[in-house]
Amino acid sequence: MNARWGPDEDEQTAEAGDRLLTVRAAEGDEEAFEMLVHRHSRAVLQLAERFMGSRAEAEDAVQDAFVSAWRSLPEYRGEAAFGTWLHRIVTNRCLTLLRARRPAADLDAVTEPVAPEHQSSPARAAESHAAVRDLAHAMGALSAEQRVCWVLREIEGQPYETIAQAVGIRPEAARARVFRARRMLTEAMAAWR
Amino acid sequence: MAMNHPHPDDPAEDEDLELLACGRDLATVWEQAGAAGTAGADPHTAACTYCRQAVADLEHLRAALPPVTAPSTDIDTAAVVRRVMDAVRLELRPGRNLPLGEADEESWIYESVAARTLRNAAQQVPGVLAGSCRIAPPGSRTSPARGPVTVRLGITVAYGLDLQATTRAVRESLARAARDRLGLPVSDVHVTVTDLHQPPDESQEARP
Repeated sequence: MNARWGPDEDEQTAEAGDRLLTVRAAEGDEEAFEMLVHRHSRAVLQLAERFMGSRAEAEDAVQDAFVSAWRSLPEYRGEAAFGTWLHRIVTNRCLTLLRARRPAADLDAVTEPVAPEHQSSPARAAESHAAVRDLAHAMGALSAEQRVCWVLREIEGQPYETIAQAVGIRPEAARARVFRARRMLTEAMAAWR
Repeated sequence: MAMNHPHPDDPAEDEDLELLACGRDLATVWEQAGAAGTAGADPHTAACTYCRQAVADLEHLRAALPPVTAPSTDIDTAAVVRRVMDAVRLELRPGRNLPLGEADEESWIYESVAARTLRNAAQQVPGVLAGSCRIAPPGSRTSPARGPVTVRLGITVAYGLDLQATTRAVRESLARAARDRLGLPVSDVHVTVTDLHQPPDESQEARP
């Protein structure tokens, strides 16, 4: 029944389609929700993997986020596009998981670099390869908030106002978190250079 | 700039005012490097050794980032979709019970199930996509009675279609499905056009 919402639609059509699917999902139409999960899972998995540093943890976080989105849909009023709303739920879920993972570890305490599997090969051939691994290691020392704000800023390229909203802090605080993360990461990477 | 005047209720931000040897604020230098993509935005930064070193450190960090456009084809979304839907199906929201069949029968149907059939019926009409579909039995919310139900359906219609003819066709299709496929007596059908959408498979020049 949903053949008309193909993968080639433009952004506007996609949003209009999302609106319709969201209304239906809010009324308990799980097929409509499944379409939404299909449409958005790739983007949020990628985001969550950047937050968490591992595919498995990202999948857990995304799964939890979707289920909690399903539960909250009846209260969702459509102020933000579904994608934006989901993005926030995923961000918050990852924040919670990151907070639980490490109580403010400092750099020396990090024993396990959280590099994705394909980056943890022992080969030190390329310098860029080593840099990617160093970065993954250094990121392990960031606090949950620093890490999330930094990913949203540096990788996702979001404005501080958006980051602040997603994380639930003031824009100045988001700016400060990003700065602290940058300072810690540049220092760590300079040390290994 | 806001960085130089931390909010009074957040004293921790004071620690972040880190000045380079040239007197420039590191956070600001980095922000400018981020905005301009290069160090060239500020003539001082371009010439200053300390600023350039700071920007180079940040660039070194950025070089280690995964590319934004990295293809993520190896992400197995199918498995995630399956697991999510398994969890979702354990906590369905079926809506209310609707009376099915004659007044003396004791048959019922979940609102969400009837709604699925009625939405599909509406979408049989070319150019129609169905959204909200609420089905209310007679009587009050707290004590629903058996009897013909009221259907409220939201649809979006492709640009260029005759709205009157389209909504009429939707009503007919919906009434037919309620009668023939569900056996659900319907007293009223309210159709609201909530939006117009771009018809699929349409060439650019055919657009209004």
